[in-house]
Amino acid sequence: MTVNGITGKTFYEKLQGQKKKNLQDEAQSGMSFSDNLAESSVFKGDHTTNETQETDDIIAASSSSHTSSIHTSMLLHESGRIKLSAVIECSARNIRYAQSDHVKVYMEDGYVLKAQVEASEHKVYIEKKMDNGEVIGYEVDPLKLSSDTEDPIEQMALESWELAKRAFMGENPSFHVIDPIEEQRRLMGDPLLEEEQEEGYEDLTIEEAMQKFYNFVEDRIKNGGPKYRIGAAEISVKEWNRLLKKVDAEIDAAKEQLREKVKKAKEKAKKVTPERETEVIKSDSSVTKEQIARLFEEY
Amino acid sequence: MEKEQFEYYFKEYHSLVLRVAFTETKSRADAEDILQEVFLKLLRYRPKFENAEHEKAWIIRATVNLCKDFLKSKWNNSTVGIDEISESEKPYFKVPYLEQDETLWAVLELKERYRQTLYLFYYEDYSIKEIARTLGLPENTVKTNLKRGREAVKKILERKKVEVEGKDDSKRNYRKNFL
Repeated sequence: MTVNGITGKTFYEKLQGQKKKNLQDEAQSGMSFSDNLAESSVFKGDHTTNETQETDDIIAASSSSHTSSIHTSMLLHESGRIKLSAVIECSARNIRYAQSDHVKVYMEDGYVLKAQVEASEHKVYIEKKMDNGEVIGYEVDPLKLSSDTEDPIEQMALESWELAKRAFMGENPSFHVIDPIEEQRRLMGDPLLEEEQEEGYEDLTIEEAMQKFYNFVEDRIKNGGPKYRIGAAEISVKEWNRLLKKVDAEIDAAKEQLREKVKKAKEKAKKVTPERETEVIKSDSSVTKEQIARLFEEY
Repeated sequence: MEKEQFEYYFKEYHSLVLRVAFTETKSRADAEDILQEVFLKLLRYRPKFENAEHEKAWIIRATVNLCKDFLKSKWNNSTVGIDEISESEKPYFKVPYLEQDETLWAVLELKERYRQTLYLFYYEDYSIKEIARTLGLPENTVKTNLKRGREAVKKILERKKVEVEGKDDSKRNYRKNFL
């Protein structure tokens, strides 16, 4: 559907009328635009498919900045496009995890989904990064989706929309899984828990981490590289490697000597074995001849 | 290198280095040692970077190389086995932006070439091109590693699933017999 396709003037005037009515209602109730956005239009979670309601929302969302007919036409065009499908393929923006509102890994299927919520436009941008190097972008209208969808892209859009909504309402959605045992120990004030959780770099603030690193550098300059204690002696990694290289060389030489000895012994054994075998055959055959001769004598 | 510039590198990359080092050494303490060595190397050699991508690639490569040296070290070889990540070490490893699940631990169990590629692609959001540059591999090799690594992860997850189901069955049987 194109803008020109709409019987232009009448429809446009109708929309303008609705828009004016909305603005009047807004002024009467004394609500600011942002209040209105939060309370009613964007994160109300009203998954209505009513066309008029949607058009109202879009116009209300745009009322603060633009009133020109061109913009309204663009929104109409946009609205018309969304109505065709809830998921539309678009050009990829190559967003990073840090820029995404929600990320999900589907490793077994070979892709990652990243979502960016555009609340004011009722859209969730989903980017699919595949392990063949392809990156595909999708624009999804979450209000058009059914909650029991099984399509991963649609599910991702719904989850991201929900998370954004919760964040907007002041909740702090967390993606981190809490260990129930650890949580219980924490609640009970287990003193061993703190002992177990030594402070590593990841627990420190950036300043503390930096300080820890500078202390390490200072120590390295004063005392040199790391050393291992073996009994009363201390040995550095380099010295240890050198020592073990020598030991390895000795072991290799000993192994080689042993291999040669075994080889010689085998060769000797091979030389001896064929003679014995022939002897056995000879003796065997001679025994048989004698036995046969004896048998003839007896009869 | 000026102090401010070094501090910028430290702020920007220290947690990334820590995570990459952990995936290689599978020990928090060893990963911290590697982190210190990486930034010491940066202080010592003061490399000049062309752009942000280059500095990131240099730092990751230095981390991976230092980890390799560490794992090859005679001392390490003769003292500790590092095939599997211990349960006690798992809580210290946190990946930003993502939910942590069994898939991550399965990735860390993979062979080095698959592990590095999969980890950088799925958990650090590197593109195939960036991984190729960082690890010094052709792009097609990276793609192959991703595909094969993914299949290996699938197998590990299936094996784990069977193990868990087996344990559940034995528990059920034990209860049945007991009652």
